[in-house]
Amino acid sequence: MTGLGQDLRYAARGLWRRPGYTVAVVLTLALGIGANTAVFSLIRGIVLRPLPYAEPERLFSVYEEHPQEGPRLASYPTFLDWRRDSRSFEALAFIRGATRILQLRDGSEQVIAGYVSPEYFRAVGQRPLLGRAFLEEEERSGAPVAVISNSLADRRLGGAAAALGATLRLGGAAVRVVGVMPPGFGYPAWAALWMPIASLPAADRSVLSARALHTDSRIVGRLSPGVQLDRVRGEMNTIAARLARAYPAEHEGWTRVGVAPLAAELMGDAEMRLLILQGTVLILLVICCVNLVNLALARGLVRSRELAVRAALGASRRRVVQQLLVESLLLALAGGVAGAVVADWGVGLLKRSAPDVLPRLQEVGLDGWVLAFTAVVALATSVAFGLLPALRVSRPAMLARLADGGERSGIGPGRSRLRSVLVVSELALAMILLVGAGLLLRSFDRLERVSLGFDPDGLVTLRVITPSPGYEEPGRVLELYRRLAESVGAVPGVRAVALTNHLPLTGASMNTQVEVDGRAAGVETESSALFRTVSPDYFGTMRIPILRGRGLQRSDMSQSTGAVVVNQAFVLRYWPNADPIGRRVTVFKSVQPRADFGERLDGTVVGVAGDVRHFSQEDELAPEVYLPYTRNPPLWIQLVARTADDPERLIPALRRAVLSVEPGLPVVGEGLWQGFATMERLLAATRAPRTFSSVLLLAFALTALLMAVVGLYGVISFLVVQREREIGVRMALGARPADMLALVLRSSLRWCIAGIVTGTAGALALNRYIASLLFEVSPNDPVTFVVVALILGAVAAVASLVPARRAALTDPMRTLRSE
Amino acid sequence: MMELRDVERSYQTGPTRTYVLRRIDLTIREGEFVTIMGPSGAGKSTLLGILGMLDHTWTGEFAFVGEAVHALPPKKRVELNKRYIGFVFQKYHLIDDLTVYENLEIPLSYRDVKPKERAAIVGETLDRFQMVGKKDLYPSQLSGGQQQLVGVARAVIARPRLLLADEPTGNLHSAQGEEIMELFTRLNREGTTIVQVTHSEKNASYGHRVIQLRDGWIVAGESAATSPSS
Repeated sequence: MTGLGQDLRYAARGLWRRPGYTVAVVLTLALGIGANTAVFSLIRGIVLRPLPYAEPERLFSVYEEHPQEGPRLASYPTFLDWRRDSRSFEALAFIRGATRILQLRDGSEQVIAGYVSPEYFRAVGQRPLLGRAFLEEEERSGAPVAVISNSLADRRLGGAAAALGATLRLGGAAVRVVGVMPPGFGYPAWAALWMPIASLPAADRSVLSARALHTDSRIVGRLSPGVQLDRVRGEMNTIAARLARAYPAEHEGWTRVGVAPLAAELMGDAEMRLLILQGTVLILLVICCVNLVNLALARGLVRSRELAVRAALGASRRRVVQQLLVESLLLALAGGVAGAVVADWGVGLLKRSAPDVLPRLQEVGLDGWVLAFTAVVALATSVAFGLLPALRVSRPAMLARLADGGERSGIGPGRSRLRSVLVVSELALAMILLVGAGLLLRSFDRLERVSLGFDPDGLVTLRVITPSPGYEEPGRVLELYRRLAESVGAVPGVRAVALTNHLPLTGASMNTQVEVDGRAAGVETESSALFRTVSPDYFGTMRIPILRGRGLQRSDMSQSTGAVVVNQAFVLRYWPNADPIGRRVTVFKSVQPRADFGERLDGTVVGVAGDVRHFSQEDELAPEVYLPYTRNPPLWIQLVARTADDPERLIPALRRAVLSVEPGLPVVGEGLWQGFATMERLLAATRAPRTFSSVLLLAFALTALLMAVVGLYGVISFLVVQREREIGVRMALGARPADMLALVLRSSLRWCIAGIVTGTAGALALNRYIASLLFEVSPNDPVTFVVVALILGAVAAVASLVPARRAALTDPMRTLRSE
Repeated sequence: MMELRDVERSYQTGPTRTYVLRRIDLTIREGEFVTIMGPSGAGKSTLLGILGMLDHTWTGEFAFVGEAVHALPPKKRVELNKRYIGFVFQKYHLIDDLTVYENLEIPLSYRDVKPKERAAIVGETLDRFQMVGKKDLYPSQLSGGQQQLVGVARAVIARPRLLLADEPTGNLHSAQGEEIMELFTRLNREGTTIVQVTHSEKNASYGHRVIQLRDGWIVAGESAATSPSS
């Protein structure tokens, strides 16, 4: 590489002396490279980086499957059967989750404890960072010991070292911390600490024998080395079929076992969403490069005199290309550094503003791999936008211009063709991204129109965990709930208060089997519905309409009336053509781990409520049964209040109202469920993944539009300057300004139409990849395509109008004189 | 030193072919100071480009210091340019971003002269052209005459055997022009072959002979072919 040092020095000087050009290029690159680096850092941190478990490819989550009803969590007795009969797993572990109150000097907090079976740490293949896992003796005897997560240690206990050996007050009992897990470890994701399953309090121990319990647990298995997945599935299905025969009441039909990679459970659809984003930012980078090629071509033409002089002074073509490449490399280097800064800032912003939108997000950062990626992208970019113009302007024909006095300066047909191709391709790429963003926006709009079935405005909620000891008796629990509702209801600004076991959008739910009389023909004999227990004011507080009959009343709260309300979906499933009022329904007590779990609850339908989207707006509607909460008092309850104005402002007063009833109740916390939360925040949380993808895609698409339009503007302006003499001559020969305006706009229109047509074809080919992100919108939605084409056309017209106007205002005398 | 036989240069313009140079026969001996003259569009600069190995799209035979240029690929022709030829332009064509010193250094770096040796040659050239005090100035900080002086110094710094000059005094006032022509005469006396293109009879008088070009044909001067109009 002869003269590389000299080329570098001169290139740096040249760029320094042209700050406008340099800043424009570096900013463009920073945007393109930064967006790519940011998304890649997410992919690297979330998808590519190994999970914090030994040999994670051998880790699987295991659950029951029904051919029609889908998956369900397995009970502890089922787990024990699996562990006894299976030979495919090196270790198989059960984790039972239970919400507990962690009492600390500076206030209480709700945490979820994972009660784990003995092989848990061997199964996940991770030991504590500090301290130890449980001793065999501790696991057998159920000693009050815990291994805690690194984040809990950091957040509340002064760090891992300080936490080790500390004694916690958990659920009213003393628990000693014997280990702290490494940062980033958290399986299941909800667990803040882990304890031996034998240490479950006596009141909860029924879960260990309830074969019909299918909530709040996970089973994780580590496959034995060399065991194929097919073999495991075959073996587990055989076991499931045997259990179905042995326990028909609990297992009939549940003849299959799902064995899915643990990574899939932990990642959800994050990988797919990130890959779509990476594709998007790659297109954005290509648009940036196309713009830079155009800019470099224009600059190359301006510099052709200098390059020709260099050739005349003895520079070989290789040397001229080298010099131009060195310049683009320097620019790419600066763009790469700026891009890394942009990426770091962007990822930091994402971490702060939407901490839960992606799994493992807090572990994402710019590591060596990400920086290497940035370097490769910067290098590739420099070649992409440097090489083509360098080869073009260093052609002997270009350099020979000097020899004939440069009389033929201007653009040749070949150059013009290249520019056309470049402009059309960036308009087409922008069209593809805009259509993608448009489809997501349409989905968002469709979703906005989906009624939740209740009015979320002004609602605020708190999950109330009853402290223990002291609230083991259902009567005492009910009394506590009643007093809490009363106290909160007395806060000025609160219009109504209600209680329910599971509030929509909080993620909590429980299914119950239902038996109904007079069901319509063809309806299955056994089926299920969401088990909802509510206080009398629930429908009014939530503004859920009662469509027929009446809602639940204060008088129904006594055990005697047996009144139940069902929702519209329930009626449609069981009595589509009959009046449901007065019909008998039987459900089963669902509060675990109470001793009466599974007991029959007979009732009579007194009303039909409107349907509610329980998990998110994208849900299918599910049958629901509402009972008075007094008939099966829950161990924890969701208190919900409707406020007159901004509920966020009332939260301090609501906290005081709760603590005045029971000072031991946790009313603050880190997570969304650990303190008061407005329904608006809960709704935002359910929409977060969609919002994340849509907002980013839209931002990238708008940036692409801006880039494409700037590119179009640049090229048209350049062409106007190039054709100044021709325009001057035409005007001297009698052309009107309008003719010149039309002359320039025609080129622009041609490119725009070509870009829209090509972009439409590209979008039709690519949109199937985002189909899974769409909601009730076809990937080929014609409205979106037409609107995007119109927007692109309009913006392109505006961008062309400025240089076209300049052409129209050309003074022919001045132009021709300057010749 | 060089001999052109039946050299032609043309452009395809639509269906027709436009000739810029027609059947050029020309011999220039080592140590000559030759002037090419003719009206605008006669093909003077094109001929200079061919002599300087910058233009490769001609036909005919061209021998240069014993090498058959017409048989050489463009890359080899660039090598000949590097070894033997220096260029002076009417508009100086100094590189705006480089100082006087760096402008002089450029041809040497293209000839792979080592940095130390380069510094010595540039220093000596600055001295010879009395420009030591201006070595850190940029072209925009120099007068036209000074810029052309740098242009000439840059053209001769690699000690070319042939100096090609395209209207070297076209942008200078008469005193500056005379200075440059005196310089050319001195260089020629020291052994450099010079071919200049000029409109000025006065400048032509500094040379040994004049070649007249018209419409691409040589109409006067040694080896002149017969014009079709004559």
